[in-house]
Amino acid sequence: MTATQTPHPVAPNAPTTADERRVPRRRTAARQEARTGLLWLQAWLVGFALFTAFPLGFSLYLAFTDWNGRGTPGFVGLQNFITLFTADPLFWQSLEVTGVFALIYLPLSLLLGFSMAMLMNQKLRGVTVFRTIYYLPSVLSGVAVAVLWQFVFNTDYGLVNWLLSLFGLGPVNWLQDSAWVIPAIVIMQLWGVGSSVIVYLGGLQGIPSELYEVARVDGAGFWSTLRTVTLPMMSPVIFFQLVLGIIATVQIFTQAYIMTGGGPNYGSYFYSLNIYNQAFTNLRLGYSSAMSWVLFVIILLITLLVFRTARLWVYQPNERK
Amino acid sequence: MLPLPPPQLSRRALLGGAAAAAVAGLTGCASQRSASRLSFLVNHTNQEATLFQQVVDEWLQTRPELSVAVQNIANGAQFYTRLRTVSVTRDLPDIWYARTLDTAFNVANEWQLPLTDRIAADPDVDVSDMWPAQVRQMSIGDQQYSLPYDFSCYAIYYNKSMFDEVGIARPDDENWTWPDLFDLAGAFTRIQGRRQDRWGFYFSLGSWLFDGIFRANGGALFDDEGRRCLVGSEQNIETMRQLFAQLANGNAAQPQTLGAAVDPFVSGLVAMSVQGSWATAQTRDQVGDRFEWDLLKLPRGSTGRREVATAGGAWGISVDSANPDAAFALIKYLSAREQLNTFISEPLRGIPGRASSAADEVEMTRGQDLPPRNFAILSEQFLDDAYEVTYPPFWAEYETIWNNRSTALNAGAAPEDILPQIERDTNAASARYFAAERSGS
Repeated sequence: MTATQTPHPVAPNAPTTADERRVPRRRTAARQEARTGLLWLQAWLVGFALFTAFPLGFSLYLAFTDWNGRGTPGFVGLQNFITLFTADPLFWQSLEVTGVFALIYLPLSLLLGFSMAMLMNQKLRGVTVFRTIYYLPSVLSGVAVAVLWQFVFNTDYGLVNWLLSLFGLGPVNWLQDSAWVIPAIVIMQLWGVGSSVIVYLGGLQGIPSELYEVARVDGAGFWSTLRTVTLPMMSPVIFFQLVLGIIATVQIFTQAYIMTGGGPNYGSYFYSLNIYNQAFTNLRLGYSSAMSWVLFVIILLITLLVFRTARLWVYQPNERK
Repeated sequence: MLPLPPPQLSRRALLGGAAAAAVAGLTGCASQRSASRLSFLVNHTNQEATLFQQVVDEWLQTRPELSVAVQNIANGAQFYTRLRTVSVTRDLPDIWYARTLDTAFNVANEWQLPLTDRIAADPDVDVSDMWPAQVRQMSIGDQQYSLPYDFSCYAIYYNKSMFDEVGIARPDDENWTWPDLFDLAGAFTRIQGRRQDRWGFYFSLGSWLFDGIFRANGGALFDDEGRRCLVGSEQNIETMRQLFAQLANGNAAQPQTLGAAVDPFVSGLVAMSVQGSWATAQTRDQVGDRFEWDLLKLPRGSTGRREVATAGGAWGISVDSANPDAAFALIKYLSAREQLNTFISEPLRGIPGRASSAADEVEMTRGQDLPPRNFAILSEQFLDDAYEVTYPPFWAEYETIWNNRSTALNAGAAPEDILPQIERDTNAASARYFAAERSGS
């Protein structure tokens, strides 16, 4: 018997108005709606359970084991984490490389993306063509882009060194010199900043024009308008880009995998590449799982820190003072 | 439009549906291994994969009860990722292209089936026709784990037209040494304006190439047991110093930097190139009739010896195979002289894993008048100069370390800094492997 067929007995002191009598029926309808919703969610729930929840849980279990993929994983307690922190110089090297890359790339990408969005926000003829051109790199495959930039950075025949040679500079061993490999990957990544430009552009176009009019009436120039109107109004978008940027940057992989293999001399050995090599070259599945969870904790901590600072610099119009 | 009646769904039905869907999903993901269907994974060009398919189809004509799914993953990194992924699901292909560099790794991880008993019981498998150095590389202890496909070594590819243009005769490669090659290279360097546009020679930082070069100069990559990396030795550092001095003086083209964009030999930018035997067919196709080229033996080292490093491709059978008998019958067929002639000797693509097929190939080069005309030096190097070694189980880790650290040499890093780092990292990997072996895990 289903709930809809169950008559609700009326208690002696039950509500008597028509609205009050409808409440149980509303609850039943809500439950039916919830069940229908769950029914439609089933396919997704199964997918989530099989391909997200189970692998997550299993990798957490593997983080405490030694396993090469065959046989039963051998439980080693915290040994993987102890080895990581105390006996694996490549763990620290890959963390350092990833951290240095993030520290250079993130501020530059935020600044460049925002500046380009400001330029693209001008009411100029043909600006949509420029928007398309700058967005194009974002739709290209990461592998294709990496291969393309290998040619661009070639020491003897690359475009970058040719440009430098016009000014009597270089040649620079972009991908062969551990001092230059991170700047090279930063330059390459900045080429694809167009995707963030679109988000900034959306934010800029959402700023009420009245605010600019008021600023103009008050005699504000470009810089004071930027400081007092544009940046505060854009701060939620910048915050959003910062959080997503941190998560994506710390997980950078393809560029080094294709272009350098992590070299030279581990100069571009990003953390995700280290995880990949431990798992798929060395078959240390337990160890690489432990590394993955350490990365998760690092991203979580940084993201929490950014959220904690958000109150200081992100404009929240609905927040009560 | 009439409103739809609300669906009648109990919690039990909801959970039941979800569980059934999950079971169906898991069943769908489960292995579909069958004794009548062999899986065959290769890591070759499309042309070679087409030949494999043709030969497998021929083999199947007398075995209607079987089918074979041939899968080619041309990209090496993706091929290895695939192998490592399916090993976890116990779904390794019945047969795959098992490089001899990987034999110890495959065996240590319990991937490959030992074949010695099957080989001994089968009079058609003639081990004496295989290259001794390759048999050693396909074996761990007294067990042989694969049957050969091809066998490779390095040689010097030289641009005959450029030699003629500069007026230099073909060197006496039977007795020449690395310093002779360096001296010769100086004659070919050319600077146009502010840029150098021709170099004497080119070498890549191939991971196993250097084992031979080091040995010829009194060093080695590993000790005889393959347990300890010795790459940071004084002899090896001195060898690298001499080689990289040729980069500094312009005799040698920048390895990998140049090679990432162009093949310097095929492009006519270098007079000589340290290149693998597998590249003969592609070099012939790419050079065409733009210039004449041929092969020279590798130079001798300071020891007076020419130590030639070798590595090969072979067919291995997975421990997960549901039909190892059929799998063995197929790899025996693939590894036979006639099939190796089809795959390798007739298209003059590298060196087959059988001496008889290699002899056929030399005959074919004479008949076809195609470069390289002195193909025979590759076989001669296998027989006269190849040393026997089993690559260690941590080879893949060593290769990652070598590829990663050695590229810094191109940017001017000192061999005395880089080689000891490679040795230290590799020995850390080795210690882990052999510690695991001692603890039995």
